Amino acid sequence: MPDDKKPSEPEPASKAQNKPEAKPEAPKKPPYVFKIVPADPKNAFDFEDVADK
Amino acid sequence: MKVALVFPPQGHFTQPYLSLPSLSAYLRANGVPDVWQLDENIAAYDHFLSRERLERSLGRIRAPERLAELERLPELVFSQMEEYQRLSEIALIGDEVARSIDEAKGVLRSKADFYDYERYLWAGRTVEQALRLFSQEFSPTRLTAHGFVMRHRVERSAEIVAALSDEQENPYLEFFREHTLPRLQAIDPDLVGISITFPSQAIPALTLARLIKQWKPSVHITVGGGLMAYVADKLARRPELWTLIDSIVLLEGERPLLHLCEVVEGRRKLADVSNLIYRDAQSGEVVKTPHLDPLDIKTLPTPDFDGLPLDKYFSPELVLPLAATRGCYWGKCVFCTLYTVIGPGYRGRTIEQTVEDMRVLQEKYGASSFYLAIEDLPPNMAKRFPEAILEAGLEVNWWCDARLEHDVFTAETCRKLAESGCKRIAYGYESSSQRVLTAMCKGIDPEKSLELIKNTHEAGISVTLYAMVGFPTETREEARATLRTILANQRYIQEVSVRVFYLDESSEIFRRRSEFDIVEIYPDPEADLQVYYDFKCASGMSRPEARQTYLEFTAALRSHFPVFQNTNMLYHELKSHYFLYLVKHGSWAALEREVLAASSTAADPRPQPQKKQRLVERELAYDRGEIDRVVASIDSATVRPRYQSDLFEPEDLARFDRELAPLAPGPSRLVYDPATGEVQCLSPAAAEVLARCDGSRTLAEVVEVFPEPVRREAERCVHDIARAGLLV
Repeated sequence: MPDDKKPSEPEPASKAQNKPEAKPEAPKKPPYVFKIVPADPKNAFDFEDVADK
Repeated sequence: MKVALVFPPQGHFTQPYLSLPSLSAYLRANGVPDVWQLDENIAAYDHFLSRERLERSLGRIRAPERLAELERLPELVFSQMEEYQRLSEIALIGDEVARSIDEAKGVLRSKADFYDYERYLWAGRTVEQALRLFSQEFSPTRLTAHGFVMRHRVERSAEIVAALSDEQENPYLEFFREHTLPRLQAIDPDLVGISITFPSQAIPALTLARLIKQWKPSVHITVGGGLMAYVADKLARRPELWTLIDSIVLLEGERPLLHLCEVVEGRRKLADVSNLIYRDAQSGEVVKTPHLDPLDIKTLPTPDFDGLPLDKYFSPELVLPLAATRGCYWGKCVFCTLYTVIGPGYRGRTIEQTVEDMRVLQEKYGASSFYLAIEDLPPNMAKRFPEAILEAGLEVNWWCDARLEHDVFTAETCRKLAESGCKRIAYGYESSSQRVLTAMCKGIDPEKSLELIKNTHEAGISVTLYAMVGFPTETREEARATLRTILANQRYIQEVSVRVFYLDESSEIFRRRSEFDIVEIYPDPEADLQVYYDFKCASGMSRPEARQTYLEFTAALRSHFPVFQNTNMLYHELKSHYFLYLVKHGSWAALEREVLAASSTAADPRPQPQKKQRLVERELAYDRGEIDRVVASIDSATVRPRYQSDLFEPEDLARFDRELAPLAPGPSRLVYDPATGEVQCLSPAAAEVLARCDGSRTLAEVVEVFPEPVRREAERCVHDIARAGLLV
């Protein structure tokens, strides 16, 4: 198929392995956290998305 | 006889595609002068990305109200975090993005602004933010610069049919009714041809067909294009299809389309049109007509772009596609379907014809940049094309894909290619393992390939490599060795386009799958249009390992290659933009030196740090940085191949909601800089540091309100804030 590959559903076998790990309770934060991070989720683009069109 | 040819959404927005201009030229040269070309892809992007339309979205989404509802919840489960992520951005920047979107498009279309890298980055970010805003109106539908996905899957015809009348989630219904249909009604065509190249076009194309049929049942609607070669036989079995369209053209469209014109004029029968599927009006049976050999492309006219909105594409200069060849001269790679589906028959125009095509298009449209839309640059063309361009006195720039032909791309040939305006070559590298390459039937030697890559780079041509992860039997160590080889030769390579291997039912490897240790495939009983199969391989990586290794690749590429780093959107905004920057600066070396390196130098804060004036801020009840982290980590942990869709399956989403620990409230502050388009998330302490940077305090005074043990950390935070661009 040309270009943007968009095929079938995933296999049942791999589904079983797709379980996310439950996130442990966040540890209590110290009173001062100096954190600044980019809030743009799309900065981390997916290479497969842009490969072919 | 009036013909309307439509390129439906969704494709890319930086340049026109070649299908309609090729067909239009052929029809016009063969006695059908009244041909209209409608690029509804760029028309839709242009409309969706307008102030008026985005303000309509804002009114419908009501992001602040919905966000307030989420903020009143005692905790957020995963699906609410996803929604929170989207709504918090829209609540913060929606109004500003709507106000500035027309200016952002103007930057992308303006020679003066586009090459100002800071302006370019702002415009690119604004377009992406606007697409997220627009998509939210139709959630979970997602329209980006690269794709269009709905919850309705294009592998299932029943879901496609459901999407066609989904007023809530199909954004094209309203667009086609308000914009495309009136244009078609003004033309009043006798024949409508819709070109479907990408799966992302399937739902929009049939949505449009349905609306056209409702308006004018007598018009003959035919669909064609690359996708049809793969799914037409299966699609034709669905009865509803024949209420939407009248015929499907298979493979190359020139001759069948011309003959369909004769059918509509009453001069030919449908049964006498080659390469066609139609439903017989009397018997109701679906009929498939014989295939004729494809046309000799030396007999085809130069593509005709007349009538396309050439000033609407989101690029400052035209980059016109041109096909010097059709098919692949190699035609052996076992993963490829080009020669099994689209082929057979590699054909080329003469080099003189291609040079003449360029000359005509340059003269007619003022285009001096070309994308050779070919599978691979044939050896004779690599050797003779540059001289022919130079002899014709053409001043052009161009790029294309090529096979790693060891005896062809010598230092001398590469030098001549560069001299003729070749700025970029994308090679099918795939793997550094001779074993894997041999299994693929690539016919290349990885050691010699590196020499060739070096030759290309040293001639001043930007090198792109295609790489593949998870080819059946490939081990994780083999894939990692490929990555190590790429990184070790990074100075010669500018881009790597990496993808996970997919098993296509039309490929040679699918037919011979047992030879590649594939022991099981997983058909989806509901996916009647299924083309790709997930599979189990008795050796090499499992599918989850392939996905994880792919993520290792992308992480390494992001950290090592300037083109992929976060601030750089040249790659993100795709082929034409990066190529145009190469043209502007002459070579990769110059582009890196003059633009990328210069933009990455972070400023230190002033002695009395001062926050920028025009920042837009919003206090949040939840930690948006933590939400981004959780959403991204689940994305990566969900190891199924994504197939260009980052929508979670409903059952996965429900499982994540159940199994993941919910997020407790914890304040954060979002800060948007309208000058750069960037959004930062600050913890309360960092937000306090920023607030104290008012230009009147020294660094020591800024941090003096914090307890002594954390002041050093607070000082580092001022530097981080400066690096994030929030200080003057």
